[in-house]
This record gives sequence, structure tokens and C-alpha cells, in this order.
Amino acid sequence: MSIPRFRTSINDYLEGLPEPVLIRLYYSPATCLAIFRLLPAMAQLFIMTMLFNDKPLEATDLNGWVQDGSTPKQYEALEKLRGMHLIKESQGTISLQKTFRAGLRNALTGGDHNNSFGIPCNTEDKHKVDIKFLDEHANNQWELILHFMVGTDTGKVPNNGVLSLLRHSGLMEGSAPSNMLITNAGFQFLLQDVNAQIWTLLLQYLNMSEDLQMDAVEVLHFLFMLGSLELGQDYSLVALSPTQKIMLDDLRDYGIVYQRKSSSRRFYPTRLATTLTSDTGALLTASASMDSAISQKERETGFVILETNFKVYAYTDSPLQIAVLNLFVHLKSRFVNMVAGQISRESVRKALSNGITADQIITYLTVHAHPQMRKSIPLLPPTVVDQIRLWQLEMERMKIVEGYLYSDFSSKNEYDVIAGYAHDLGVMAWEKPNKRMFFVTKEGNQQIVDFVRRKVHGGA
Amino acid sequence: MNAVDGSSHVPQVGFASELEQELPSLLVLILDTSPLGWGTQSPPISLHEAVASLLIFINSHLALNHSNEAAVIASHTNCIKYLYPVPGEDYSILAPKSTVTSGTESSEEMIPNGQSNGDNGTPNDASMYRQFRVVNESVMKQLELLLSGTSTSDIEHNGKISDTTLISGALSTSLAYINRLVGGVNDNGPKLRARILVVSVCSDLASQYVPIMNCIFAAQKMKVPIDICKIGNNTVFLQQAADTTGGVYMHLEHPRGMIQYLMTAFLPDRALRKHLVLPTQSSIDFRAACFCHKRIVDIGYVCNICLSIYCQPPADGSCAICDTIFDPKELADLLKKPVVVTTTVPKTKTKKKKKKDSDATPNFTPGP
Amino acid sequence: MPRAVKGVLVECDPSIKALIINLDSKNHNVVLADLDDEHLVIEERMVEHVKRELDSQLAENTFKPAELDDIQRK
Repeated sequence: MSIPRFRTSINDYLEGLPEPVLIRLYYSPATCLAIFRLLPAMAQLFIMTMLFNDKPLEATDLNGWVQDGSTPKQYEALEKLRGMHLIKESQGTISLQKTFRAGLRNALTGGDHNNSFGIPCNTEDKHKVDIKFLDEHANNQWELILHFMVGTDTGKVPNNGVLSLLRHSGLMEGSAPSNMLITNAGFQFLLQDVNAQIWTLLLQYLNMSEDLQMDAVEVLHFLFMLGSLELGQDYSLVALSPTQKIMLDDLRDYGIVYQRKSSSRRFYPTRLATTLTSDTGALLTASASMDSAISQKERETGFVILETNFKVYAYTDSPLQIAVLNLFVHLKSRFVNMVAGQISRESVRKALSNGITADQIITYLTVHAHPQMRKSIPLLPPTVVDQIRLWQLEMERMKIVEGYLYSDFSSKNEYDVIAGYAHDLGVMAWEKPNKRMFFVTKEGNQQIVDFVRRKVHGGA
Repeated sequence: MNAVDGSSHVPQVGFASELEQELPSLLVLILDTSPLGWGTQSPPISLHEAVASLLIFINSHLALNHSNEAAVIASHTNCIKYLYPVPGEDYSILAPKSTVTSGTESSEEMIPNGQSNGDNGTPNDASMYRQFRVVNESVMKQLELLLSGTSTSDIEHNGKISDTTLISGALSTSLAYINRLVGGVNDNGPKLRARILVVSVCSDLASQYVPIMNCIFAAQKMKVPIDICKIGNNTVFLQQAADTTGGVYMHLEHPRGMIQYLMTAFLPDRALRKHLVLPTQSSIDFRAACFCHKRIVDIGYVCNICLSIYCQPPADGSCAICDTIFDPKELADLLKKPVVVTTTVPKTKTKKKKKKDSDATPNFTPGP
Repeated sequence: MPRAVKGVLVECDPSIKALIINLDSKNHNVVLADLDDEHLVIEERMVEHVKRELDSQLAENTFKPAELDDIQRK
């Protein structure tokens, strides 16, 4: 699934930020709320307990509160909170980071005066647009990018901002629009659902914005704000900073917001924006409803029929979908409203060597299965699913680890001490005590060498 | 070229456990709005303060997960009412640009609603996340309507002010609501985990013994825990409700700190509760109410056919529920007052006689 | 005093291991240590060579249905 991947990546990004930057982020209640939602459930609970409690929490109280068997979850939660600098620990007590506490409190009680949830326009828009129009707009913009990536000839080329983002993110290579080619990462990107695709691009946008001297905090504030806006409502540009106004231009190109013209004083978020932070979306429904909402043509999300004899029939005339299918299916014939093809060892191997995983293929087929297929349980023929997995296993016949092989220990004791140390460091890749040999990873080797020197010199 | 090497996509760890938690949850909050119940609290907490805490609590619940849902049902003296979602209203379209009329007490800053500055027709929408605002505005507005529409005749019962509340009605409504949302159209398993939280101030619920017990068993069957947040005196049946369904029962010693109780004990959803040590009841009041006078009894009489409970043997000699006619002789024996005796000999005699009688059928055995 | 050798640990099934040993048998410049049935340490600069050789040998040993050949001919 692509959703957890997004989770980890936005989380990783946030955890990588230095404390002062994070604290600046927490000034916005909308951001506090969005970040809160990214946390594991246990961490959320700890925050809630401390939120309205003026006294700091005793660390030992937590131990008594969590079941004995679930201590790892408790540590995981605390680790996460520390990583995001959400808690302060001193002398056995834990308290919430002050800014975050105030921000989240404001988000929950509605005491926010930063307008972090966006200011709706209070005047009537003369050129008012409806939700259907916004969906179409988002759809067109987004598909334009995807079509460009698969090389469909639509006669239109996305704006330079989009092109440089695609290049910067490594999804495409090439200097001019005419010679840009999709990369392996680009293929994987195409197989994700829309929400994950947007986040992939937005994270790249974040990385790029730092190079462009844009303030990451403002960029994030804006992104998290977009996620909390209302579809169909127009919002005023008044509260936006100059950076955020520049961003608006870029986001318009992705179809995330709609502005009638760039000088307009108002903007509309599209469905791409309002579903940004609704990551879980009740299992498949977020992406499924997204798909159905986004493409008027394919009201019924599924269009692919997969048979037990590995034949694939796809009822689509979208060049984009056909291009995606072509990544792992031998397409044999094409009709007005459908294409037919066969999944074969070669076609899957081609996909696998492009960096697409078996699971991605299977997820894609599951998500896009024709309603007719949904009647059968399991959804996809198990023979085909198993075979695709087997093909992947066949490709992955070995695993390699770079590092150092240790041997010729003088005594069992020496071996045990050093091997134990390697275990503690977590760098042990392979060991065989009766042969007195072990293999450590490249990263851990230096520490082992130092340890051996200390031991030998200390002992001698 | 790297095709033979599988090290590049080694599966990520710690993955499945997260997915299991991802199931969003539905919280149905039943708020006891009985005027007398709130009026007689000591230490006092006003309905207004409690609602402020509850709204923050609902917001927190919604904040946990984007797909979490909430419903609020008021359990009044003579009716129940959906405070959110109001039947027939569509919340997916834009909220109308008018706010609720400010209540008389809305000077309190804790009220999580833009209403205090929203009197000029343009609410400060930016101050609150949309999902929260929709729920909060709806609850405040409907509550206002409910309370302003309540006249003294509604709360009077047989000439005196009734302090009861229709908890049983609210419970069955919420179970029906949960059933509709959770067990509905979707065939690939439940998409929501539901639970009920009852905020109760009333102590006297004996008149609704049977319907409440039926709701409890229905909830148990649907695997819906009923949490009880109790303000004021303990109520017998609600303890049983929490105990039977695996919910949390908590009696608020300091109702003013309600928000902290809510956040700590009632916020975790079912998936998380497995990992926590939650407050448990040391002693549960398992007493029942009799079917004849709705009195709570320690020891009563039980019909040996249908197990109906009576506080005293029925006057007409037959069970009011299943119409079993009891042996008049047995009934007479049961109604016998203890005989005050001076000597020891007759005492053993009466004992013997009682024992013999109780073996006969149909009889009427004293039960707990 | 223990001895450390720089190399690349390869984890694979015995059949693949046999193929690697076979590669090594020509010049003895690939395998540094034969650890057990499923583990080998090989020369770091030979990793790409080994992967390439394995890929081509495995491809030779797979059965291709006639139908697929048809497609490729077209």
C-alpha cells in the first residue's frame, strides 16, 4: 500500500527538521492538528492526557498506565514524541512542548487567531465555480502531468515549474520537454494512488523549496492548511505570506488549487487539496472515492479483468491507464473501449527490473479490478497472484551485505566478548560460533575495530 | 542488472500493527439533559460547563483520525433528540453562513465555538477546523432548541418534578444508529469501530429497568462497549452496562475537572484499550429492579417460569408477565410474617415446614 | 588477535551458491570464504560480474512458452 509510505516519508521529513524549525511550525493550530494525526495512537493519547493537565506527568505514571505487554508501544510512542520535539523531559517528569500545547488547544477549542484554517472570502465571487468544475480542473491538471510522464501526445506540455519538479525529484530525466524520459522511480510513482502521488511530489517540492530559499515552515503551514479547507469554498489571499503566494502559483499548476487568473484575490482548493491530510480514508475508500470523483469518465473505478489464465482485459480508452498497464502486461490487441493482453514472466520481469515490486502490481490490479471481479473471493485469482510473487522471488535469488569477515579468534572467550559487542551494536550480519567467525556490516566495522584494539591493548 | 539482488526491496517492518489500528471509530455520546439532574449537583457543575468539556472531547476524538465519526444524542426527561447529526440535514455541503444565536451564558471563553464573535453574520470560520465546527455548532444549536422548548409540563410527572431521563430510549436509538453505520451496506468487513459514552446525572432509572437491560444485552451482542461517565450519585444499572459490555465506568469525584477525566479514561478507542490499564470498578452493584413497582431490590421473589422479579408476591396470585398461576398455598406461606416465639421447640418446627413447601411446584422462590 | 577481511556477504539458496562457486572455479578470484550452505563472502569488485553472470545463466535455464516466442518474433 502506498499510504504508509507517505506516512513514513512525511514523518521522516518532519523528524529531520531541527527543533527551532519545528517549534515555529507549531505556532499554527492547523499544522498542530495535522501533525497530531500523523502520530501513533499511543502517542496521541499521551498528548491528550497532558494537554489539559497543568501539572507535568510523572514518567513512572505512564508505566503503570500501559499494560506490561505493551511496553514496546509505549517506548515507540515516546521516541516519536521526542523525535518531533513534542515533549520535554526533566527529572522524571514529562510535559508537552509549550507552543505545541497552545497550538493544539487552540485547534480543539477554536481559540485560534492566526487564521491557520484559512479565511473564506466574505464577498460573493462574480465568477463562482462549483464542485464539479473544481473536480474537472483538478483532474485535467493532474492528468496532464501524468500523461506527460508516460509520453502521451496530448499536444500540451506542463509548465516549467512542473517540469523542473519532475526532473528534480528524479521521476524524469532530460533537459528539454521534448527529450524528457520517465525513470524507474517514475514508473513506481505511476502505480501509486493519487493521494500518495501528490505527497511524493509535494515532499520533493519541499526539498526543492529549500534550495530556492523558500521558508520550509511557511510551505508546510500552507500545505497543512490546505488539508483543512472546505471544498467548494473560496478563500481569500489576504492572510497568505509572499512565499505562500508564490506557492499558490505552483500548486495551481498541479491542480491542487484553482484560481481564475493569477491576479485573482481568491482561490478555491480542489479535492486534491482537501483530501491531502485525510490519509487513512477508511481503508480503500479515500483513494477509491478520489478516483471516482476525479475521473468523470470512469465513474466505476474498476476496469481491469484478470483471468486465471493470466489474460488481462482492461475496459479503458485512457492512454494513461493503457501506458500504466503496459508496464507489466504484454498488450496484444486494442479495441475502441478496451485492451487485451497477457501477464507473462517476461512482462513481469520487465516491470520488476524497472523497480516495480510484485506487491505494487497486485495492489494496482486489486484497486482497479472491474466490478465483475469484485463478486469473487478472493478478488484476484490466487494462481496469478502467487505466480507474480514467485517471479519476484525468482529475481531475488541473493541478498548482499557489504562488510568485514572476522575470523581466527584465539579463544572462545575472546570470540564471545567481541561477538556480543557486535550484537549489542546491532551490526551482526552472520555468525557461526562453532567456527568462531562472524560478519559485520560496513557501518559497524570501525566500532568493532576500536573495541578489539581497546580489548587487546587493555588486556596486554 | 540488479535483478538477481533482492536486497533493494526488503520489506519494511512494523507495518501490519499500524494497519490494524487504522480502523476509524465512531463515538456515540449520550448526554443526559434532565434539568433537575443538573440542577441538584454538588459539587456543582453546570450543563454549560459540561457541554464545553464534552465538545472539546468530541473534537479530540475527531482529531485522532480523519475518518473518525461522532454522534450526539440528548436524553431528555420526556424525549430524546439527535444533537448531531440532525436527521435530514446534509453536512457535506457548505455550512450556512449564519451561526447560532448566542446563548445567554456564552460569555464563557471555554465555549469552543466562534459564536461569541459571530453575531455580525460572518463567523470567524478560520478559527476552527471545519469538521469540529459543524459538530459543535449543531450540538449547541440543537441543545438550545431542546432546552428552550422544554416547558414545566414536560418535566412534571404526576404532579411532581421528575428527575428521570430516557436513557433506555437514547441507548436503543444509538444502537440503531451504530447498526446502520457499521453493519450496513459495506460488505468487506466493518469499516468503523463503534462505542457509546453515556454522560449521566440522574440517579433514578428503575422505571426503565427492562428496556435498559435489553439495550445492554444488545450492545454486548454487537460488541459495542458502553462507557459511563457518571456525575452525582451512582446509578445501579449503568454500572452493569459498563461491566457487561466491557466499557469504562467512572464516577467523577471532581466534576469540574471533567475534561481531564474524559481525555484520559474515555478517549482511547477499542484498539488502544488493549494496551492500557483502564480504571475498573472494584464493586459492581448487580441489584435489579422489580417488575411490579420498579423498586430496586436486594432480595426479591422470582417467578420460576419466566424469571420475572417481584418485590412482593403478586396480589392476584399470577405472574404479571407470563400469567403463570401460583399455588395459593405457597403464596400464603411466603406472605407469612415471621412468628415471634419464645421457646425453641416451635421454631424448628416452622423451619421444617418451610423447607418442605419450597420443594413443591409451581412455587415461588425468593431470589436475589 | 582476530583477523578481519573486507568483502561482501552473499545470502542465497544452495543452487545459486553452486553457480557462484562454479564461476569461481575458473580463476579463483571471486569467493573469499565459503561460510555455510547459504552464505558466502565474495570479492567486492566482483559483485556486478557475479550478478550479470547469474542473470544470464538463470535466463538460459528457464522454459519459455511458445506463445511468448511468437510475440517476440512479431
